[in-house]
Amino acid sequence: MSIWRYANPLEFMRLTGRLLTPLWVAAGVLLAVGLGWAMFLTPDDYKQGSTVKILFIHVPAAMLSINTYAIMAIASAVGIIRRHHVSFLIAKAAAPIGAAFTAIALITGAVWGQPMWGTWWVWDARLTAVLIMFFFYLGYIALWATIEEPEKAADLSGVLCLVGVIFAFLSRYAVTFWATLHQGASLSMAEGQRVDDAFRTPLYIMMVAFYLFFVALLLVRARTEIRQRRARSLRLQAVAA
Amino acid sequence: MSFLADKYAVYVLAAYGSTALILGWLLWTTLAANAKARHDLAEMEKERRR
Repeated sequence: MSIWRYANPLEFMRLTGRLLTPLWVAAGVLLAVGLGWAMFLTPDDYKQGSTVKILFIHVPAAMLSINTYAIMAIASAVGIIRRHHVSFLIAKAAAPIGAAFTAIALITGAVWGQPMWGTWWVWDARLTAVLIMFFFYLGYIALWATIEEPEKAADLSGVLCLVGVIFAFLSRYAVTFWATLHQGASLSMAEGQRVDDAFRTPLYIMMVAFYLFFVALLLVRARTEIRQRRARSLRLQAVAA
Repeated sequence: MSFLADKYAVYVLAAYGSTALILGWLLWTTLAANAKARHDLAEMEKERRR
């Protein structure tokens, strides 16, 4: 069975229709468990006090902001190369979600930075790369909204997305390349654990919850796009008849 | 909620509050757009069958 059969909108709608309810339920349960654990069962950090609780939303949001951009870039590349409409729709559907998670990462980072670094913002490599990536998200959304012809909008916004990949890459690796005020990766397979056991389990739960929430939102938005396209096509047929 | 007594409580609440607002807005707009698209498509298909 080829994965490309899901590039057929009918197959995609059939499969995702079955997945959505379990996804929402799992995301909701894990979010409730993760939040409860983070708020009531984790201790304050000996240096950071209760601000350490921001970790549980900042880290998953930051990971999703970068990974969503990677998903958009892969979907755009597949769309441009193989002309699969669902790929473009996945990229288009993912953009507002990625922008929202990037906004969360930036805001929670600023709110965390003020008491810990003594400033809301610094123009260090990681923060600046994430901010530019946020602008690429907004530009991508704006480009889709501005161009009326869907094929042209898909191609041009796809190219814009691919140009912005460098900033998604820098958002992830800037802390490795340059000395930044922002700390290095909290969770790194190469560099071992930097998060205490007391915080790691609820952090993992929140990460899984955020990812499931992301997938559920993405599927709903992709289904919306498919329905809008079908309605548009029926409208054009009615006008032509 | 022991952290509410901490001097940093306002920062924690601001971070969680802004996250809840953004995710709530995202969820609301996503579901509303989906409901509208479903309704519009059903109307178009009904019209086509007539």
